[in-house]
Amino acid sequence: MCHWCNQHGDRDHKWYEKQENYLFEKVFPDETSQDKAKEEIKSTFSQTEWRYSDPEFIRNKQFLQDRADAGFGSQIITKEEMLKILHLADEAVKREDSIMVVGHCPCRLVYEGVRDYVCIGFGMPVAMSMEVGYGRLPKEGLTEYGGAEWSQLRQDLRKGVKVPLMMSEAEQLIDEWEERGLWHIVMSRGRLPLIEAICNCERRYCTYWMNRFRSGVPEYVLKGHFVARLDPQTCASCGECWDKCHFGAIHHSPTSETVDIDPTLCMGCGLCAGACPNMAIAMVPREEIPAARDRW
Amino acid sequence: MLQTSKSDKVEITLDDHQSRAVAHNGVTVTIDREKCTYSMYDPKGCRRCLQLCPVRVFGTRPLEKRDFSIPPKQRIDPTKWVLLATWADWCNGCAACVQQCPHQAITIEFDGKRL
Repeated sequence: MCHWCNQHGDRDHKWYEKQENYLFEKVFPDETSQDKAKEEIKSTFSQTEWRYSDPEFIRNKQFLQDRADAGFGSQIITKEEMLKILHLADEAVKREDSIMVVGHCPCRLVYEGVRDYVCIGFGMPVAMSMEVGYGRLPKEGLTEYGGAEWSQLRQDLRKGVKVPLMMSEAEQLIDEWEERGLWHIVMSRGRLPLIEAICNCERRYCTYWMNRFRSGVPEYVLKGHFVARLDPQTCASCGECWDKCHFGAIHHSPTSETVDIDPTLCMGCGLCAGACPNMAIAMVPREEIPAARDRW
Repeated sequence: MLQTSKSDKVEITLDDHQSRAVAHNGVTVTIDREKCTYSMYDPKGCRRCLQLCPVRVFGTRPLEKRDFSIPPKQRIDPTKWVLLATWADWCNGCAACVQQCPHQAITIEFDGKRL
């Protein structure tokens, strides 16, 4: 169990498997904490892109560490876990009458200059930030943080941002992303344990990757609860998995024609397991592998 | 207008003419804002350096922060975006961005020597 599971999960559930962690009113039971959270949602929403490219924020280790301690956190998950999370989120969205959207990834916008619709946001934080930001540029839709009145939101969302109203749509998108080789992250943006989004990104553009590997704040994105384990007897060293790994954990030896996965480098995204045609890679729980056990 | 931001490893200065990143390890990346045509809102606009850079030195951001305290109808949209060399200290000196920039807007210096 990672330290967020210790803090926010329980004996049978990981922190992102608990239904309560998806409900705004369960995480913030009283009005003062709700107001505080709302204020914070407003401020982060208005400054996201600004922050992602500003050294003051992205490169300042102390600042990032403080934010991580204050409840910014995320964790790598496998595709199966992602589907579970989506089902939980879907239930929560129906229960509290908020929305689920597919929006563009702000990291990719900042570092690549394009809008790529690979982030699923759900719950009250999304609904609130829409309320804050909506009201400009009617034709551009939500992507420009502008548009129409709240009552028109759903209609406009269909043009600008995709709304996976049905789970089947979301599942289809996930398959697309898996094929493109994007890893999956479940995240809370400053309001742990409230879970707000699933992000699909790659090493080249991911701000969370940078926070961990360049700025050196591992709490910003924890390794997943699973580790890839290769069965050398079924592995044909065909090469499908080598370029799937974003973290340099997979090594192929041309001398002995074998592949090995370093459990200390494996982040547990499961992309290699999904790509393997021979089912030689299994995702096993981190506790089962002593070398990787307490490395988050 | 002059904006400066500092982290322990790189200092970025932004004014109307250029955005300049000076890193602790001797790398200086200067982007001439008068020549650079980067625009987030033009889908066919130039983003050559962002695509090319193998170590992701560059980042972009809106010139102004979004201010949601202003009523929606009075807000000015942040159509102006600027290119910054956020990770200047990671530059490996391949100079692909300097050569490929269609407007020669990027200058990189390693310890005062221009690439």
